[in-house]
Amino acid sequence: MTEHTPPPERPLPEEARARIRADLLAHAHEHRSTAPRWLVPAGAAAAVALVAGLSYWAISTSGSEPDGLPVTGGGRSSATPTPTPTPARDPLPSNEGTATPTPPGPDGTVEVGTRSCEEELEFVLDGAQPAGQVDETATFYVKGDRFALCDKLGSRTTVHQPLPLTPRIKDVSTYDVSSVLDGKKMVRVAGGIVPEGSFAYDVEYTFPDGHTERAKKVSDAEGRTWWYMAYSYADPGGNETEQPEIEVTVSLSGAQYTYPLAWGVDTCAQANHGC
Amino acid sequence: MAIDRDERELVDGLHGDDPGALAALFDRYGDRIYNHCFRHLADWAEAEDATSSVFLEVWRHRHRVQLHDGSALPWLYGVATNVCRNLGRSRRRYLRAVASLPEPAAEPDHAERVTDRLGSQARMRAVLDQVEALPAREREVLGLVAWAGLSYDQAAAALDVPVGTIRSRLSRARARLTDLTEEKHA
Repeated sequence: MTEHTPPPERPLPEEARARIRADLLAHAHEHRSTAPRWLVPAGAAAAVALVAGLSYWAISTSGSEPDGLPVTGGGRSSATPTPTPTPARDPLPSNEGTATPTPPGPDGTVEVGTRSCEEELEFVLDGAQPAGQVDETATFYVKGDRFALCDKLGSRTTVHQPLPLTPRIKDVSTYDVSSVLDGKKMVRVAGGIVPEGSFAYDVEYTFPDGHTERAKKVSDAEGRTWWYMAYSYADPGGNETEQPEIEVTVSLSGAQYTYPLAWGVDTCAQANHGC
Repeated sequence: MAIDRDERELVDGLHGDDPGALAALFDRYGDRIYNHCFRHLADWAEAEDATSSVFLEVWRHRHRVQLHDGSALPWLYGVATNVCRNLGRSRRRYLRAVASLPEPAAEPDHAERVTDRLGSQARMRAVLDQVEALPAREREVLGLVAWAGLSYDQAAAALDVPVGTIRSRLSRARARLTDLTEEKHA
């Protein structure tokens, strides 16, 4: 049967793992139910009642789920038709479809981005330890060969996508910014580690309003140097992608590299909440 | 990086719209689903995309996630089997469509990792060619039990069929493969 034996298993490549994980988190945050779950079928039933005028029928069937579709109301549907392994006529779990809302558990009531950095790191870089503290609002956390920046600007706790401790200085993702809209202010934050042995390493960001913000540097007890940039400006509103791109200029040992940040791709570095 | 979190909690988290639970499930089972998809597709890059699709589907159907003997893995394998089966169909259609085109010249690449990657893909394609003669249902059981290491109970939960069906399908698959091998060597 050796000719029917597949090759040995292998782990997901780290880059793919990080990318998929970030995509999943972003998608899940974007497509989570905004209303309590018990309201979703009730709302759907009310809409049916309004259109059809069958209020009595609608109220009596408000907990039902047509044709095995999920009750999530999750926005876009996937392009891949993928039935679930459960039968289409599978009844809803016993706690679904009831008229009485189930009180959310203690975990379910927590809104992401409102907790401490340590708590918000749980699903991003669990167990990471504080390494370089920029100030009372921003700290770099390290676990193994990766780090994650956490800041508490813009009225939220924002954990950035973990990056390798050995920086890829010519990879634009090294300079991705997080974006948090705080009232009418847009808060952009980025940070990273200064490559060991580098001379004259500087990172500057030029924003759509023309302002250039230079990253500041802090050292930690391990002898590492971190760079950190935070800037907030009045959000002009409208379609962000029509604004001039944020531009990063990296100076390293006398050479300069400039990277435009693609809207949405390089401007959504947060890992624990949506953009 | 597996997060040590009770699976019941993970499923409760999914039922409660917690994106962290999805991430934790991915951390825990991403590698297994990746390899399961590879065994359907014989292409590591496509297996990455398929893995992503599987977990997006999990989120889409998060309120339906079920535990089997305290594990969400069988349910997850069920979703993965469906996703990869569909991707495999699309891919076969595509390959048939381009089959008449002249083959591109092989690009030399001396990186050991790439060679290894291509080697394992070629090997998996050869395995899939061998089992191609089996009905899809038997191939799926073979993939779950013989390749992914699921128990009969877990495979039954994944495919939503009785355990006896798993036993008989696997038995038929083995018999057919033995016949095929003998025919080939005769």
